[in-house]
Amino acid sequence: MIQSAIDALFIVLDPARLGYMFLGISIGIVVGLLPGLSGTVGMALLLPFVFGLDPYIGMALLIGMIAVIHTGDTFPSILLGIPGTSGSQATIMDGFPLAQSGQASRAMGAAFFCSMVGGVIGGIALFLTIPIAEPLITSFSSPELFMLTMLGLSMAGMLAGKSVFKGVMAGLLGLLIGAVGSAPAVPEYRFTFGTLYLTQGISLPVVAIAIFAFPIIITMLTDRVTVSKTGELQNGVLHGIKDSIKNKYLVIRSAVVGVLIGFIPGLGGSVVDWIAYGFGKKTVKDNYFGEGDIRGVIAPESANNAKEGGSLVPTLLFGIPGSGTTAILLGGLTLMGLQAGPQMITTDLDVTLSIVWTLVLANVFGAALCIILIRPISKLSLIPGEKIVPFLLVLLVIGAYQSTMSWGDLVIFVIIGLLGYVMTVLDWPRPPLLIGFVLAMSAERYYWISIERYGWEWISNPLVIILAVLIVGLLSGGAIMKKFSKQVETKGGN
Amino acid sequence: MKKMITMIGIIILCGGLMALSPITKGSSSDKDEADASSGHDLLKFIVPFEAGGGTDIYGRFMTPYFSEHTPNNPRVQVENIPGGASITGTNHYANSVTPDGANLLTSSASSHVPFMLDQSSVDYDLTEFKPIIGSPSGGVVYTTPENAEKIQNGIADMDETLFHAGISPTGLDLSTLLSYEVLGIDVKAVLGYEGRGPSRVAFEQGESNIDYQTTTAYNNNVQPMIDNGKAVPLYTLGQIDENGELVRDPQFPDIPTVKEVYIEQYGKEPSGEVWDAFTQLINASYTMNKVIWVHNDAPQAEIDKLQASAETIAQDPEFKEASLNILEGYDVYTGDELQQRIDNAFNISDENKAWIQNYLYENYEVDITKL
Repeated sequence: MIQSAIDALFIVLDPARLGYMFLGISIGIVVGLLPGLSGTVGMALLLPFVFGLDPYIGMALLIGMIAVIHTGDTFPSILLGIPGTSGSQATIMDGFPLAQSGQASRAMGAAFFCSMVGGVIGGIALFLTIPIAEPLITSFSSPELFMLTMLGLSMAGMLAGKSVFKGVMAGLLGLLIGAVGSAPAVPEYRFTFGTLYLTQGISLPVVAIAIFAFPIIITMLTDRVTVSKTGELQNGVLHGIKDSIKNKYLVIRSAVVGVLIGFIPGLGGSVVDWIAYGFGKKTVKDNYFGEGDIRGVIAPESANNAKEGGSLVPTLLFGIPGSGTTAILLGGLTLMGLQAGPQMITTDLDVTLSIVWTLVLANVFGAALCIILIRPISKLSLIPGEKIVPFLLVLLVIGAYQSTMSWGDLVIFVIIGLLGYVMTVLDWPRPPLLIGFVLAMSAERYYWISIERYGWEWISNPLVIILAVLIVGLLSGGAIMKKFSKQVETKGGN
Repeated sequence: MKKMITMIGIIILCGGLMALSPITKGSSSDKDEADASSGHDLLKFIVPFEAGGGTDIYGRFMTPYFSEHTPNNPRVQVENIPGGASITGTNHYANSVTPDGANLLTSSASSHVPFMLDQSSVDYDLTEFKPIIGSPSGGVVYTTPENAEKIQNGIADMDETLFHAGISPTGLDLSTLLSYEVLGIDVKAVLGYEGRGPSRVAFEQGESNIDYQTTTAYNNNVQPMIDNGKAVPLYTLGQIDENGELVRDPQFPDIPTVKEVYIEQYGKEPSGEVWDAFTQLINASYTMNKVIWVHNDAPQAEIDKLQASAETIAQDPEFKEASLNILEGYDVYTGDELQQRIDNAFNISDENKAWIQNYLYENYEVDITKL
């Protein structure tokens, strides 16, 4: 295997293929950078060109792009408070406050460095799991997947902010929005109001952008201020990298979370940043997450790049795409004359290994490129609101319309955007809504399948019990810790 | 400073336009092409799914060959209109796309079966389209070695319920579910899986113990399980020949069809309502799995041209070789033969239609005419 890995490295380093990888990286960064355009759009753009390409070249192009999307998407999240793709929503929580206090460069330095480390860990994880992928994947049957969605939903409680009631309500609202469209298990449409558009459900990019971007845009217009309140940009890239090295265990921990979530098919990687953020919040001592804590940037950024390596395992070896991006990647494989399946680790092992190398190299180069771009791009946060809003609005509308290219997307964009604005005014937390929305379908699907297939006997599966204990621990642990910290506070007050 | 801002603005805008270019190209060309009856320089394949799926790949695979074999060598482009499980895009093609012979539709079983069963959201009539080229796909039902032995010993003596992991009773699963019905195998369908990949993993986990896969997935992912003794093929769903008879799948000449298994078990030919409904569905969803169409009211010259290019594509040795992989090795149908087969496949009798609608209602509480 080591010998084949070295051979694959030479295949990847062939100048012609390297050129395609850099092309992929540039496209990936632009697509990530533009709010609203996600990996799915990037893949759809590149798909027509991969037809008949040598698989190594095609893979260099596609994987080069996938690898760096979650590096480039950090720019708008930190600078504008608008997620570049749905994978970098959690970065906003602390990245945006940091930018507001003039520390955008520091936040981005940390973010890109962590993206790189996370991405490389993801690539290594892909390499290491190749021999043990099959027993790992088959150990997650529907009941276990259901419990994992519950674990994800319990994150909504952790991200609820001050009021648990508001958090739970927002989460439930998210579940309700996620239930629109065709039901997963019975051919039945819900809340479609007789329109064909809603039968496919509401698309994630539209919700993710609208709920964060819309309120920010209104604030920018009404307050007539620049994002950076201090009006100056501090040089902090190195500071950010030092922050990340200081928190190396958090980086590694979050990357492992990212790999695992990506690895489990059917869970959808879209919540990985929130889960890493939630775990970070829970496990980092003395944190002030949500108010500009650099560790609140480090956790999700390490995880979202690492996820890609994990999610390629079920995609390549089992033909099960975990996301829209990997679904198109499967189509790309077919166009290049390859088929996902066990032969990817036997006859086509060299292709798989070249993917691993591309993933690692693209993450390193992508992060380096982004660090170079920090200086020019971070000036964005100095532009007055009313000047930048028209550009943003055009981009966001295009982004929203891209998801299914139907007018319905624009209507939903405005409705969800207004909902987001109302929620910010009333101080309701928005992350629980997104988590509920993303997990609604999977939660329902796996619950239904578990009951249909096993009745109630699945409750006693060992893995189900372990996950249940973990959920209860996380939820009650929060309450206990809060109580404890309150005690400390009151004591301190005395 | 101001310059910087403008520059950044321009860069962002350029990026946005770059990302958009394939779409704008696609939509602005309608008018230009409509009056160029002397030969289009752009053909558009409308695919009612998102990029990357089976139907999309089928359309994209065909594009260079249509470009090469059509006079004028037009550019051929795929346009994806996803939504409503392919119904949105097919409706759009039928009602809002100029019937000028430059716009073609790539359809699959997901558009064919709802049309056949009068699903209410269907706003297209496949008989108003002219088929240009069509391809079959196949399906193989397999199970665990223990259950295969029990079935071999006699379906009537089976005391165990089998579990089938499926997606939805109205999709491609319907044919397989009806094949159980034909054979009288007691199978509980657990539906709601995300796709055929996850349902195959469910089989590997033991969550289900009878499953089917289409040709490519079977060869790539099930064959290794069979080689390891973890699965045994039971039967193929078969193909419908030009006389309407169910025959062996050319890709699986050694696996018996559901018909042969029936004869072996019950000592007579299958017949009756279930059998008729089943063969009708196999025809519309497998034998006519993917079809490229053009509007009937497109200029006749254009239709003739497209049909002629389909004929030559089918003979192109390069196409034949490349199609081994992507078209699963089946021969394509063109011309009169294709038209004949389409007529047979979608000409469902009222009794068969009512039987299937009723089957869905009684077993899955689905009223397809209200979907």
